[in-house]
Amino acid sequence: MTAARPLLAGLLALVLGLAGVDLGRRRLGRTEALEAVAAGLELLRTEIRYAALPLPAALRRVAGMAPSPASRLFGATAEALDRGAAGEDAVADAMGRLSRDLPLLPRQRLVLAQLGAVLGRSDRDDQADHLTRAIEHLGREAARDRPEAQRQASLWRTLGLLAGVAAAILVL
Amino acid sequence: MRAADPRLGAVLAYLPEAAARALGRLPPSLAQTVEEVRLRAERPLAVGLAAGEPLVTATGQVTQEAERALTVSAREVRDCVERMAGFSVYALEEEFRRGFLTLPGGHRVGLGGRTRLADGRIRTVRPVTSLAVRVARQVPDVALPLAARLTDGRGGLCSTLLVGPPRSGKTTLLRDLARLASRGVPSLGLAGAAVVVVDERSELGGGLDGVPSLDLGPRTDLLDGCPKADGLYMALRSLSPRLLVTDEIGSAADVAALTEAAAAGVRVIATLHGDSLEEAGSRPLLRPLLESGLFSRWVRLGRRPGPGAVLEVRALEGGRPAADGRH
Repeated sequence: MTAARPLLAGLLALVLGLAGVDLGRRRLGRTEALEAVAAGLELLRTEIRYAALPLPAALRRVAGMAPSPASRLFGATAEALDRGAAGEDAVADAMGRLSRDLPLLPRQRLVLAQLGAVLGRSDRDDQADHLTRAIEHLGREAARDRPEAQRQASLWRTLGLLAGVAAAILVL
Repeated sequence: MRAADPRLGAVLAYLPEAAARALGRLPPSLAQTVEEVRLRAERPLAVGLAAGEPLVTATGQVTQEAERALTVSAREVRDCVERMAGFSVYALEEEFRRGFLTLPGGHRVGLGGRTRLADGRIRTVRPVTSLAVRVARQVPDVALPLAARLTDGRGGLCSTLLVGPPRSGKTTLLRDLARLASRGVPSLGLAGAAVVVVDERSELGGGLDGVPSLDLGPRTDLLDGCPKADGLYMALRSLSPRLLVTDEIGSAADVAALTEAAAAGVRVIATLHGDSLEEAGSRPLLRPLLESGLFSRWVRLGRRPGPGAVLEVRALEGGRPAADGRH
C-alpha cells in the first residue's frame, strides 16, 4: 500500500501534465491549420495561374505538397469534385468531413466557403485575385491567432503540470 | 440518366437533372435523330432535329407550345457550363474566347451570353446564358458511296471541298472520309494512306488528351485542338501526310496553309460553310483558294432528305466546274 501511493501520485502527475501539453498543442493546431491552408492556397494559385491545370488535378497536386491538415482538405475537395459536386459544395463537403482535423472558427470557415463559391468559375487572373484575397485573410487570422494561441497553450501546459502536482500531493 | 441513344446519353451526363430526365424519356426513334440540345436561360428546353427545333416537355414529349415545355433556369445553365468545363473555366480560357467547348466524345458546345471585350476583342463569354450542344455521331461507312466518287484512280482520294449549310453533315462525312482513306477500301481501289487530321475544335476525332475517341482510321495522326493554319504547316513539316483533313476553312491563314499543302503535293479534304460553289467563290477570301485549282472535286451537301445528303459532286478545273463536271 505504501509503495502504491507514490506510484499512483507519479502516474497522476504524468497523465495530467500530458493532458495539459495535449490541450496546449490542440490550441496551437488552429494557427497551424490556418497557416497550412494558406500555404496550400498559395500552391493552388501557382497551379491555376501558371499551369492552368483543371481544378481536380490541381487540388490533388496541392494535396501531395501542402502540409497537414491542409493536404487532407485539398484531397477531400478534389474527391468531391470528382463525384460531380460544384466548387462550393465540394469545399463544404470536405470541411464537413474534416471538421475534427480542421479546428477553424466559423468566420475562418466562411472564408473557405466563399472561396469555394468562386473556385474554378472564372479566368486565371480572376481566380488568382480570389485566391490572393483568401490567402491574405487566412494569413491575418493566423497572425492574430498565434500570440493568443501561444499564451493559451502555455497556460494549458502550466495548468496540467500544476494539476498533476496537486493531485500527487493529495494522493501522498 | 440514360437515353435510348448512347451518343445522346453521353451528353445527358452534363445537363441539368430535369432536362436530362426529359431528354432521357424521348422516344428512341426521336432520340436517335437529335442533332442538337438547346439550353437557354429562362427559356424552354429544345432539341435540334433535321425537321426543325421542337420544344421538350418535362415528360419527354415534343411540343411547339412554349408554355407546355420544360423551362431551363439561368442557374441550371451556369451549373451546366461549369460541369462541362470540369469546374475549371480558367483552364479553358481560349475555348471561352472562341465561344465553344468540346466534350469528351467530340460533342461541341456553342456558348451564348454576355461577351466581355479586352482591347476591342472578345475576351470571354460570361455569364453564359445559352448552350447549343451538338451531338457528335459517328456513322461508319456513311461516306462510302461518296468516297467511290472521289477516288483518283491511283489509290487515293482527290482533293475535295465539301460545301454545305450548318448541320448538313459535313463533319460526319469528313470524319468518315478520313477513316476510309486511312484504312483503305480495296473494293474501291483505295489504298490505306497516312492521314493527318487537323482538328481545331476536337469535333472530328473527339480527342481526349490528344487521343481520338472517334475512329479516324489506323494510319491517322491527330492534331487535336490545334489552330488550322498552324496545324497544316506542322503536319506538312513533320508528319508526312498523303492526305490532310480539316474542318471549316475560313481565314486568310487557312487559305495560305492549304495553298502551301497543295504546292507540296499533299491531297486535302476540307469543309466550308455555304450553299453553293458559286456563293463560296464570290467571297473575296476564298476566291484565290478556289481559283488556285487546289481542289479537283466539289461536293454540295444538303439537309434533305436528311443530314449528309449529297446533292451534287462536281469535278473542278482551276476552281471552276469542268466541262463535263458532274461526277
